Amino acid sequence: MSQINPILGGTTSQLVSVALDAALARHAAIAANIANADTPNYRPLMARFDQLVADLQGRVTDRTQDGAVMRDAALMQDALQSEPLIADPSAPQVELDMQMANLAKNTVQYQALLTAQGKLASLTELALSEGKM
Amino acid sequence: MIDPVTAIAVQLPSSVEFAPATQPPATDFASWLAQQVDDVNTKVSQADMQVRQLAVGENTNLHQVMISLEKAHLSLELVVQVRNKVLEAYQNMMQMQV
Amino acid sequence: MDISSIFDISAAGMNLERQRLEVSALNLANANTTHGANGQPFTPLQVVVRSGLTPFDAVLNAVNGGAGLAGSGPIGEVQTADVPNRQVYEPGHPDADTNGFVSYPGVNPVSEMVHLIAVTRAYEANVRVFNAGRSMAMKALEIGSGR
Repeated sequence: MSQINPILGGTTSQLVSVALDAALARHAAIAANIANADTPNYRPLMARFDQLVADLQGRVTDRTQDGAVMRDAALMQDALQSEPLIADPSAPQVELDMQMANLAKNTVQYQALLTAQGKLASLTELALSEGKM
Repeated sequence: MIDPVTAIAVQLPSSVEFAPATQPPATDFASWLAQQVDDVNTKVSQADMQVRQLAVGENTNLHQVMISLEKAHLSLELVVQVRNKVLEAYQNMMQMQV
Repeated sequence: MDISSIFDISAAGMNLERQRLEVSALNLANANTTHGANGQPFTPLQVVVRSGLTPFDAVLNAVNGGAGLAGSGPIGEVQTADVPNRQVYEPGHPDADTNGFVSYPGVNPVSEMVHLIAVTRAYEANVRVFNAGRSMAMKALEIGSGR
């Protein structure tokens, strides 16, 4: 039973929380871009987070690195508070259909994370309630 | 003359869908339960890992994550309910007047 | 294949169709441009589409179990179409040559309009694929609910 601990709020919860914050930041960027679609000389924005999170990939499956992963994730969350949105280097102007596509993608990601985290938490709930809920 | 109560030999299901394929089938209830607990551990750990990959954006199938979570939930529910029934049976036994 | 690569493929398709629309619109708008910045009549453009999948990508796909399809959307390059100019006899036109013929761009409005219809349908098809992918993902989230 040594690995039941992760579901009680360790690295996984931290990672999901950071990913949800990132999804909100991305939504803010897309909303700003769509609202400013007709503004002349407007540069589309993106969430800075996306560049940071690529660093985490490949490290999350190794449980021995959990401490380092948690620290990096906490740092990312703080960084997100200060300057979440930057100019998007790959998009010189707002393209509405790309923004809509990103919006749909982001929404699915957000809901998937919420549902997955809820199901993980329900495992703990099942154990705590001894199956009598 | 009352016949002695004989133990009814219960053939436990081989539970292929829950136990890992590499383990030999358990010979008695205690080892079966131990196997199931290990199996729950594995499934929960795997589901947890896949949720992490989903959060970070690694290459994960969304339905695979959901299915793993559901499998883990069902395994844990099985173990918990078996444990409840065993406890209930034990308590029933203890309440018997000698 | 993860969920975002499915969306990226449809997004690339929509991008391409928009590119083709822009080129068609440009051709139609400049159908009568006899005198461009370089003094020549406007040259009609076309979008040459090639698949993003190189043979190496196909090998990589086989190795990774189909995980590398994200870059396989179509890529369009805008090139000039090799179409001869229309010659119209207008002796009083400032751009008329010595014989009185004016060179108009070889843009065929009928074929451009037909092209527009095809582009619109292709764009709609991409949007439908995108929406279908999104519905499937949302349905996958319902696995195990309703207990």
